Order: sequence, then structure tokens, then C-alpha cells
Amino acid sequence: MSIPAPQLVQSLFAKFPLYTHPAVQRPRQNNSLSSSPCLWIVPPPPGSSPISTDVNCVKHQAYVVLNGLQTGPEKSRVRLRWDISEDGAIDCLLPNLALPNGEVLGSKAIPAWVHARVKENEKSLEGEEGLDSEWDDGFEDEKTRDEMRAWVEVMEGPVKAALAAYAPPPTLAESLTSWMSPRRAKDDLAVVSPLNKLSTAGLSALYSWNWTSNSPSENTLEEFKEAIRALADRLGNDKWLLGSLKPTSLDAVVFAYLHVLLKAGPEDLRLEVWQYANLVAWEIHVRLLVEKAFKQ
Amino acid sequence: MGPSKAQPHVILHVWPLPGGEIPCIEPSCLAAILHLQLAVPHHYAIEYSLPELSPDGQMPFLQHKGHQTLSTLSGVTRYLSTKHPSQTLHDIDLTPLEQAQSTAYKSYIISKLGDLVNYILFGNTSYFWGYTSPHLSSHLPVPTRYYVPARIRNLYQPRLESIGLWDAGDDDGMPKKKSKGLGGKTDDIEEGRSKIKQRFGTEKILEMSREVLDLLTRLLADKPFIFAQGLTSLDILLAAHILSIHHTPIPRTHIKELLQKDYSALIKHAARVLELIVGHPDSTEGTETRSRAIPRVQRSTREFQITALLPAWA
Repeated sequence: MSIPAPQLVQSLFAKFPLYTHPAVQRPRQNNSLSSSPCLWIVPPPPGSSPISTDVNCVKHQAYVVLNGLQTGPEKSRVRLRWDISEDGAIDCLLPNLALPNGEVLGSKAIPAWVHARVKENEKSLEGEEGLDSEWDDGFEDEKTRDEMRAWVEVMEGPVKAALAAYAPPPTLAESLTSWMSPRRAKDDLAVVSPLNKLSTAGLSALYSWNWTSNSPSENTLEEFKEAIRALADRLGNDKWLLGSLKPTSLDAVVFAYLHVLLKAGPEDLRLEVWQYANLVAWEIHVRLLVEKAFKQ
Repeated sequence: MGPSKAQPHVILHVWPLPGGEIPCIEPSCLAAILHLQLAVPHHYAIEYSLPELSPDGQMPFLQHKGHQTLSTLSGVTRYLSTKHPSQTLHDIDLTPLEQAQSTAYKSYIISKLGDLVNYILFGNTSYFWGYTSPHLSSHLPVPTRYYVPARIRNLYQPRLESIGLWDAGDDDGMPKKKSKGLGGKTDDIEEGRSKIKQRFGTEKILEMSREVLDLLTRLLADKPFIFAQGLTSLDILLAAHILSIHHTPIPRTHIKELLQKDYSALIKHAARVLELIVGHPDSTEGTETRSRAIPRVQRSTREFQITALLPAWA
């Protein structure tokens, strides 16, 4: 512990003694609160609905509910929490899932966790090794599963681009301080359609500054209309998309986009979706399920 | 009708990225060329230009002199289907279910295969500086040719980063600058690490490509065209993407080799579509070789103006 040093130095150091404090105990919260996993989401609109305003959060909320976790055993039921700022989330992207053992999962890791919980619940119900199929959905064949992947791209393509293009432009204060925020990298429109972010100043200008945003073009709206029409045709009167027997991840994604479009979407896009009664009815049906599941 | 004496009224502007016989290997531009070839076989011209000349910044865009200018592939196909509907396309014969499925698969192809093509053209550093950038610069006037290609590349960065394809993968023998480090040993360690990162990157890219191409092969399933009714716009879109990858002039691209080795069904489909369109029975010069059926790219008559260097709002 003591380093060999001249007496003078040692006496100097003696004037600054070393104190060791005991370790700080983390304050233990109520056991009942910390025993269930908690989903951190973007705050829902004012009112009694527990469904968030951000598409990603709604996707994960619906995924949790449609996989039956909220009706299962106590320890797999998920609570909600919306007082966490997005800057503090993993990858600066809410939703995150806080587990009872203190771990926090980023949004990409949530589906895997949900799958593991579903398998656990099934095993405890049946008491033995059930069907070990990875794809426990209601699809009959590979072709429909392929189609499901294609439909996810429809939602993440034209629909997401339309939502991003019609989103209200950032206020002056936001655009001036955007370089400070860690969420600078998260820019939906640039991710979905790169050329849409062409600065209004043009590529050749010696100096260009993105202080005005492009107004949404007619093409974005046309592609959005085409996508919604195709979705309404495909849904028809089925209970779950693509004629599946059980809800799937595609249902969660479609519900998320429809909910945000109908609840808080821009006027033009909302009117477009309103024209299709089957989509509106389906959204209401799934919304009631999700709201009921989280109100317990 | 002999070689056209008058300037055609319909001009399609595409990315200046040729690949062998194909005037433009960017998939949406190539699909637009194929649609135009079906609809108005000898009454259009192709010109190379850049996104900033287009009304909303998207490529390809169509200029119909005296009428209007439209951009993006979907705009062009919509315009053509109203003005010059083609008999060979069977889009109207599809059932509503098939039409919905067609929309879904089109989005899938545009986003997944489009990502792979964007990676080849813009994502991989050595392909970009070796092939894409020289072609882009050769069509640009002097001051802008030094900074505009890099700016175009940066536009694609957020998207490719979000799927992990930005700057990943091997160089494939493109000329690489040997960086002179301070110590020889540190250099070797760095090189070793970057080689490992590149190998993992290449493996990931190949895995992503296999997933997409497997799904599309299952969709095609040994049929001549995707839907039983015949050629549809979905076939043209798929063929355009496959041809873009197949005809890249960049030597030894991993994705191209994977395509040629394992997915010959998709290549055959693309060749069949090309045969059907370019050997079009309506064309008056039916016995001409393929390279003359698609018009040669004409030189643009635009002159460089110094005011282009100022921002557009100035």
C-alpha cells in the first residue's frame, strides 16, 4: 500500500488521508413493481388510451398483445411507462423493454424476447415439449409467408415515406439545435427514400443549407394511395391479414401504421384511409384488443 | 419509318451509368426504358442527366415536350398507361387479389433488391470511386464534377447504414491505396483487422442477397412469367433489377457472381422479358439487332451556367 517515498513527500501526503466509504446500496423498490417487465414508449395522446403516438412503439405494443403475453402468467405481463425521454433510450430509439433483473433491451431485441416468453408460457401450459416449430403462426404454406414479408415492405416503404413526407416540418428552434441532439441520425425520410432529401438548393450549389424542407410530391401520395388500396383489397373481410388463423407480426405492423394514420395522421393521408371501411373496422377491432390488454 | 428526322418529343432522363449494351444499369431507370420501349417503341430518346434537373429530385424523369414532365418510375408508368396503353402488358387482366399481391411484391423488390443495387453502385467505397464516380463526373461540367458525386453518395448513406450495407465488404481487386503508417507492425495489425471486418461484411451481404433471391425464385417457381396471364409490370421490374446486377461492368462483384452461380432461373426470366420487349413485333425495324432497338443515348444540349453554382433560392 505504501510506495517507497522520501520522508518529506510522505508527510505531505499524510495531510491528505484516504477515506474509503462503504458501497452505496441501490434503493430497493417495491418488489411487486419490479417483478414485471416494463415497456418504455413515446407518450400516448392525452386521453385514456394507452397506445402511443409513435409508429415503432405501437408496433411493439401490438406485437406483445397479439402474441398473447398480456393474458398469460403474471410475470410475463408487460407494463407501460412513458416518462422516459427518447434521448436516453438504447440507439436513441424508443420503445425499450426494461426487464425485472435490471437489463434494458433495445427495440431490435424485443421480438426475440417475446418469442422466448411465448415458448415458456406454452411449455408451462402443456407441461411437455410441444411443437418446436419456429414459425408458430397460422399460415399454411411458404408462399403466404413470403407474401407476408412483401407486405411488411409495403408498409415500411410507400406508407412510411408518405408519413415522413407529410410530417410537420421542424420548427426554427428545432432546426437550429438539431446538431446538438443525439437523435440527429434518425431521419425517416432520408432512410426510406434517399433522393427525397435532395436539398432545395440543389446538388451543384457551392454552399447548400437544408433550412427549407421539400413539400411532398404528387408521386408520394399516389404511391401511398396505391399501397392502401392494395392493402384493403387483400384484407377483404378476413379476421387477420392474409387469411391467417392467428395474428402475426404483419398484423402488428399494419395495425401500427393504420392507427397512427387514423388517429393523428396528416389530413390527406387520413382521408385516403377512411375510404376503406374494412380497414377502419379492422383497426377498431384490433385497437379494442390492445387497449383492453393494457388497461388491466 | 426510317431513322427519325425530327427530334422526338419524349425524352427520358436517366442516371449516366452504362453497363455494356444496357444504357443505364440503375433499376428504376432501366424499368422505365423497358416500359417506354413497349409503349412508344421509336418515338422516344434517352438522355443522361442528374437528379437536380428533375421536378422533385427523383430519377428517372420523363419530359414530354409541350406537355408535362413527370418523375419516378411509378409516375412514368401511370402516364404511359393512360396515354399509350400497351397490348403486351397484362396488368389489366389480373384479378384484384393478384393486383394486390403485385403491389406488395413490387414494394419488396424495390426495397430489398434496390438496396443491393444501391450498395453496389454507391455503398461499397471502391466500386463507387472505381466505376460510379468517373461516369457521373464525365457528364458534369468542370467545377461541379469534383464535389457532386460525393454529395450524391452521401444521400444514400442513411438508408444503407440502417441496413448495415454502408461501406461493408471486400474491394474485389479494385486499385487500393496503400496507406503508409508510422510503424510497419501497426499497419499489419490494422490490415488484419480490416480484412476480418471485410470478410464478415461480405458474408453478411451474401446472406442478405441469398434470402431475397431465394424468395424471388420461389415466387417465379419455374413459370415463364410470374402471373399466368403473361407479362406484367412486376415482371419488368424484377427483370430490370436482375439485369442491373447481371450487367454491372464492375469486375468480380460478389453479388453478381452469386446470382450467376445459383440463380440462373432469375437470369433466364430477365432474358426472356428483354427478348419480348426489345424484339418487339410492333417495331418497324424488326430484324435489327438488339443494340439498335433501344435508342442510343443522345448527348444533352444543356450548357453549363455559372448560376448553377448558386443555391436555387438565391
